[in-house]
Amino acid sequence: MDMYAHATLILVVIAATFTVAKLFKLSIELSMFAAAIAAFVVHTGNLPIRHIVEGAFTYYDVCLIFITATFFMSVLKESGGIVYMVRSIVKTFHKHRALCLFLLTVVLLIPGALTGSGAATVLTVGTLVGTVLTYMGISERKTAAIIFLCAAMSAAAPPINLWAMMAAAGSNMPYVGFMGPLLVLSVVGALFTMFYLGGKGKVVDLDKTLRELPEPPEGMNWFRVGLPFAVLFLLIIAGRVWPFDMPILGLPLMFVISAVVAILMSPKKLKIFAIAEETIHSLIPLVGIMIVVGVLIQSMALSGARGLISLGVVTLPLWVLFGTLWIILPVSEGLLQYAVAPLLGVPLVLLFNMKAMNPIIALSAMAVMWPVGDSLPPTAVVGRATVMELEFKGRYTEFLKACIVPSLFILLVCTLFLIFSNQLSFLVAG
Amino acid sequence: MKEKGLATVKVIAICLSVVAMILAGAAFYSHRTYKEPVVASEYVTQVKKLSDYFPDLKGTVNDCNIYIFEGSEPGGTVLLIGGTHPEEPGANLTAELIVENLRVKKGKVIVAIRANRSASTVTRPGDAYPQFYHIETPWGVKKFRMGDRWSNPLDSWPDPEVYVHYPSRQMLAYMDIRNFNRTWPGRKNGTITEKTNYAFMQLIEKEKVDLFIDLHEAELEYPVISTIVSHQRGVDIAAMTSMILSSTEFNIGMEYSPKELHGLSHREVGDHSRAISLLYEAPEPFLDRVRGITDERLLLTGKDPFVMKAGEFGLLYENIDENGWPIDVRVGRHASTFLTTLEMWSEFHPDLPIVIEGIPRYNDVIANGVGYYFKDPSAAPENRVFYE
Amino acid sequence: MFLNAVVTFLYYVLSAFIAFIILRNIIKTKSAQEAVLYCIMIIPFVLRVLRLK
Repeated sequence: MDMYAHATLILVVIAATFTVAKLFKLSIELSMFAAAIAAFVVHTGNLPIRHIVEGAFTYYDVCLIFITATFFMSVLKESGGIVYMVRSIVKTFHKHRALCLFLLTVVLLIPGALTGSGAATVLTVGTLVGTVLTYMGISERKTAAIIFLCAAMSAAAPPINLWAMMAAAGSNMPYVGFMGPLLVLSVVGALFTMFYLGGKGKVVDLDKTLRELPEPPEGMNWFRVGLPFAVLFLLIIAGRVWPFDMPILGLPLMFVISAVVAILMSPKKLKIFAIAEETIHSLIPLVGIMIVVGVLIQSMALSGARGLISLGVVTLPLWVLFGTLWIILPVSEGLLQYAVAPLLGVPLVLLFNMKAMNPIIALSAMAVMWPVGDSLPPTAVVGRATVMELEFKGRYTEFLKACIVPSLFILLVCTLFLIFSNQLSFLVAG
Repeated sequence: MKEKGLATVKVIAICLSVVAMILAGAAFYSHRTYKEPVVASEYVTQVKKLSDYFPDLKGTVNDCNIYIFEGSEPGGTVLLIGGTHPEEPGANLTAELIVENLRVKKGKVIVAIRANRSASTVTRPGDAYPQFYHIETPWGVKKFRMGDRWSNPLDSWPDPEVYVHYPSRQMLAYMDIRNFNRTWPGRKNGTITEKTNYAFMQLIEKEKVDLFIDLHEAELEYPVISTIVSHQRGVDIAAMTSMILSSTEFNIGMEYSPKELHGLSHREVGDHSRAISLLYEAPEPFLDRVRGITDERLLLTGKDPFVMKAGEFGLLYENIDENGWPIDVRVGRHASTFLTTLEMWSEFHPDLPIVIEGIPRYNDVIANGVGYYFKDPSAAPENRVFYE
Repeated sequence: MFLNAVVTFLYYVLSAFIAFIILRNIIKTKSAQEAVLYCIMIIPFVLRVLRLK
């Protein structure tokens, strides 16, 4: 069998096994794992254990960042820091709708920006901000759409964008310089969403809103909320300013240290072990999928299936990509989650390099389009989490409809970034 | 699911998980601890350890062998290193071919086969590399460790949030703190990779190295390929070498080392020592992202229809046809480039000649195969067998 | 640097802690599918702690 036929066969085996596994009601992670195993078996006629286990290591460091960052956010939430922030914003700015919406957007962007996960935003600040938005006269449907899309933009926001990190790692490309383009795209996307869907409404009923929001623990103040963030920021800066005098901490330990500061700053005693356990427990679907995606990628690399996809992508004319990526990327995200970053992202980065486009701007644009698809079935991880957390009573399609206009806006801006990547090179820094 | 059924599933899943850990763990362990025998040429003068130049490395994974060959007549000194990126086997195979066959008449030749041993003890997750590759020799099959581009995380963990290069302070990708060709000139108190670069810089100084050569291979999608990258002080030698080889044996280019790109050997060794630094690149289709089946065959033959197809679309910086880029061709290129470089060096520096014998040229390696030049460790005197 | 060694050690502790929690989840979970997934997930954490990969 020639290599084209063989690699195509492997892709068919992967798709078929995945579909059958889903039909048998296996979770997406296990279906993907089953597909990877089937690919290994068909390719080697054996069960190459070393390859399976090695693949599971592909995103090991990313998983550690993900887990520790989420732990940090969980500690902040449990200590009452986040509710304090939201209450303070409402109290101080309830008469200035635009400013209030802007600050709430910032609050929504922080957890996802630090953890790389939209689910983290929904779980830590989604309900709180959602409550405030509802009291600002925004319908539940629109509130859900705002929370979801801002969560998606927070996942895309720097410093941690898992799609860009995974695709960059696969392309031997430094994850450096993404700060500017990711920040511009995600902030523009989030603000457009917030003001398009929530710009009009009634004046906030302060008393009612504050009654509805949980009370922060006694003694909580801006210093206690701010210090953990300040420590995180200082550690990152110190590693860059005094790299030869400081020990190498790495992002996961920086998050742990900041979490420890948050614990020390908390006015109430926290059950640290329980928070840590709950963090890992709640992250299992996401960490699980990253580990399984690594196994799948290894099976595809071994069998040539990855090469075939890469070849297919890099030989496409650019105008076809510009015209279709805005739909392909979100849909593929809905289908495969983070797996799309190495699968489609890596060959695309390669192509952009070859076509002398700015790969950092181009990958940033893609890495903001992907999370928009997190509301799409079959996975719809963040979308489902949003409607569940906000206890949205309507149909899921209603929620999706509310997302359409801002989603199209985000996808349009990202497509423009793709097309004009070279002209936007000045954004690359940090 | 009923309690009993659930318990059964759990027990079976845990057992399978443990079995997978044991089998894979054993494979990783045997790869990490596998020792490659090297039969040094009978003309080797002495074999030192890298830690002889920087004691901090003693007992670490990166305390590699340093093979020293001195001629009967004085001359210049060249240091050649293989294994900077152990996923590029043409480099360490060429270095080993030289160690096993070299005779120096004038000057001094110093060789390290596995300059960054740590990176040769791990393969890259997600890329499905084979753990070993095998070369046919007249006396049997010789087995080599396949490695990665970066040092093993077991020897250097964690990576920083961003890697700041010493001393330029240029910011590079976090994982490149484990990339031996991004950490030159090294740092005394740095990571194992930075310390290894530092140790080589000490060696360069103590042995008064005049010429430094770093062997590499590259994917065809990468613009720096089939070329000699030269520090500005070495351009005359590199250009002449490129011209002579291109008109007599094979096409090879010559490029200036970019002054603003830090951490690479062709830049930093030249900037921070008296030595002139050169870097050779040969084509290795195995490293291309569009490659098809990833296996030892592709690694050694360099034949791949997907990479060829990418070439048809004009996406490559080097030609490829159905003959691929076999390992013999790649090693042959490095061997001839080394020989011609030394000839040019001796012409440009008649007061410091380096004259050597015993090393096959491009056509010889292709005709005989690289394995032809490796000696049987079981038949060699014990004092000439070393392990990498 | 001594501090770097301490940091590295902390990373092994972190990996061990995550492996431990996954193990507890294997025992506690009522879902067979979750149990299987946890058994896959625990592998890299254990092998890293054992310094095998």
